[in-house]
Amino acid sequence: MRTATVATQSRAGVDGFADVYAAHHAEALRIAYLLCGDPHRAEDAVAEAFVKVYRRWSKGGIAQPRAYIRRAVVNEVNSRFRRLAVERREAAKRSGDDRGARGDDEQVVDADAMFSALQRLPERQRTAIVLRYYADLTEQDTAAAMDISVGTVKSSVSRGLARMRALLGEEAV
Amino acid sequence: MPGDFEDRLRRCMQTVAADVTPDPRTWRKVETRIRRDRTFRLAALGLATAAVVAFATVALPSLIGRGRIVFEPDVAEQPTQAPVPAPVPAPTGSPAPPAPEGVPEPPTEPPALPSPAGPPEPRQAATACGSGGLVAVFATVDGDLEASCADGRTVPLGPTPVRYANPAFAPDGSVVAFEQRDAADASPTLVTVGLSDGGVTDLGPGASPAFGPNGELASVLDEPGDGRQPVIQIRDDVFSEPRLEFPVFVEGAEEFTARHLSFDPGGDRLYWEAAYEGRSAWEADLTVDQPTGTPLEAFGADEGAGFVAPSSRDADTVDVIATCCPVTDGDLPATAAFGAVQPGPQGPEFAPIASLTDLGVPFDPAGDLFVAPAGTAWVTQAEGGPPAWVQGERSAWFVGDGQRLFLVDANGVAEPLRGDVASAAFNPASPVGAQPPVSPEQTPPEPTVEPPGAESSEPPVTVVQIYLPRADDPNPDCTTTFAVQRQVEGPGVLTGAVEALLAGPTEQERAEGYGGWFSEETAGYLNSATIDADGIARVDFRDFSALLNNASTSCGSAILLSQLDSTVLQFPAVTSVRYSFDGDETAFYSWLQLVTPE
Repeated sequence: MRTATVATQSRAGVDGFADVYAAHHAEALRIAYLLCGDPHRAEDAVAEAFVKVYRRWSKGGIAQPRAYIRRAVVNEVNSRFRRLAVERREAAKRSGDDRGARGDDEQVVDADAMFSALQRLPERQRTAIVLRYYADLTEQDTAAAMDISVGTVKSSVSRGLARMRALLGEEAV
Repeated sequence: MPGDFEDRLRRCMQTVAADVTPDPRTWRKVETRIRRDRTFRLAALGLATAAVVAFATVALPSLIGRGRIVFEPDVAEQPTQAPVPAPVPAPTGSPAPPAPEGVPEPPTEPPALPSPAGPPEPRQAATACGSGGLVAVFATVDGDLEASCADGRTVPLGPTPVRYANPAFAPDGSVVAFEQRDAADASPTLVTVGLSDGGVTDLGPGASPAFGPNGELASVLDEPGDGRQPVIQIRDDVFSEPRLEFPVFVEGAEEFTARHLSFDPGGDRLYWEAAYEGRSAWEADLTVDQPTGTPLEAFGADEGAGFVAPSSRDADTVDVIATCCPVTDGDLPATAAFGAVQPGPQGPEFAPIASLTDLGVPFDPAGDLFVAPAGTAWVTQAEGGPPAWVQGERSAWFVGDGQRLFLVDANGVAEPLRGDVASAAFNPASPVGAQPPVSPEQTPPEPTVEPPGAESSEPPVTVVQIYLPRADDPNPDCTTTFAVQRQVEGPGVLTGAVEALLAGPTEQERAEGYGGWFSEETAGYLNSATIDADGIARVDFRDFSALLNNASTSCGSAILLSQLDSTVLQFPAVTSVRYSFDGDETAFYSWLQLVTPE
């Protein structure tokens, strides 16, 4: 009987977590994609991040699920994709990409180029820029999500932006 | 203006991210993993509780006056014949040498038997295989032990009422250690048997024995329910008390444990498989006063990837089975590969040697995976005769999924050994395969490095991967390719791999859905493939652009480059790659409408 009770509680817990998942999955996935550049791997990493979040959530230990999930996703993506850094770098080198098929929409071309430049940044700079300019976090929140100091966030963002400009052939004014 | 750039950056990221559509199947995957995670934890807790009861009621009293392990066939048992029930044809380039002439016939009579109840007799252990020589000990899924003899006989060691698992030989072959349980759910104890005198030593509670190069013995002490997390103990020898003890995990996780311990050849490091948040390989530096277990970093890039069952062969290389990538809604790994974790330019990297789920015979990547060195032993089967152990030409390993046991060599050639085996240990003093491994051949492919293979007149054969897209890829994204194996000869494995890629998929692979840009039409279009001192691979083709009319489209070029990149970058020595047509890089990249890399 004890087993049945545990199982029932477990089901209720997982079902309850479904709401948390539904509320945050899309944002988490898009952050993961911007960090790793591959939609399928981003989906996998986010799934794993949610499994780990659940372990904490099931113990009632998450006051701010959105921030916790964001941090879990950043950790998961960056720890998983270091091995792919070489491949990503190789792929990004070839962008800048003047293929006509993508040239109809100027914004898309710009987005592609920006995205390629973003993927060529070092992990910390890329993460800081995604959290600051896509997730729209404050420097303090970005620092918390990355487990680094605010000063490091500032320098990472500054260097990352400068690097992106250089990659895109744009000089800072 | 800087603000303009940042605004553009914001808009661009919004645009790019908006293209990503959440997969509705992901929740199912998350839910399955959560439930399995909970089930695993609850099961571990239940096992721990049961083990406490069993230990108190069964195992503890039996520590006194435990029965001897008898290395002899039971009188009523006839030795079984075949350690290789169904050998599969080895692929071209199989390292298995032809059956030597004069493979000894199995004896028609079992060796003389000592009395199981009698005093220790030196020949008990040593004579299990008679003059054939003890090559390996298998622990079956039922907890029985079997000696595998050089002449092909399999000799049951027992049967005994107790269950054995995880045999391990001392480096000089003088002692074999086991994990012993009086019942399936009882706590394990460690037992060692001297192969020269049959002497039995009961070391008390412990599991997963492993010997170091100087005879030191590592084991796991995991007393469920005692409130302590599992610890690893190191003894100087089988007669000593533990001199070193350290927790398996940094943080408390007493319901989890470790197994499959393995020393590095210098005895300075210990590796093990940890069952904590999935299975993974951990390591500890034994040269410090208080060793601390840390995960062996290397993988982590693929869903479900993990390290299991590590075994160490040199100071920088750990052999593992890596499971990977649940591709369905379920959470079980879809593939398993045997390979090595080695230093790489980006840190430790996994270099596959053999895909275990592509053997043509069943292999369960979700099974109780196991890997252990097997020296340079190999098996062969003379026509009409029993399978027999022979001296192989390359390093080999026992690899298993908890049910089936394989022998896999350094070139990725696998031979099924037998079923119903959970673990195995190779006798370092075996009459076959006991020579030190030939190191260049036991490393994963290293481009442009000549594997010496000095004694062999055959050119070295190396298994490499080439990467092909699949027509039935459920998530086609113009970049996903899948590895298939090729065997290449000669020292230039990078050249061989690219040549194999340019030749395209085989007919069978095409029938299975593999495709890609390359085919027999592009075969032979490689001019050269070299790696410079900075790790940059330069791959020069004869201009094949006229053969691939549509490869310069966005998706087409992405697939083509994914095939090329994945194939070239599989080699740890390669850090980046540049392509050219007849020496002209711009010609290659402009054909694909890409900017030539700086």
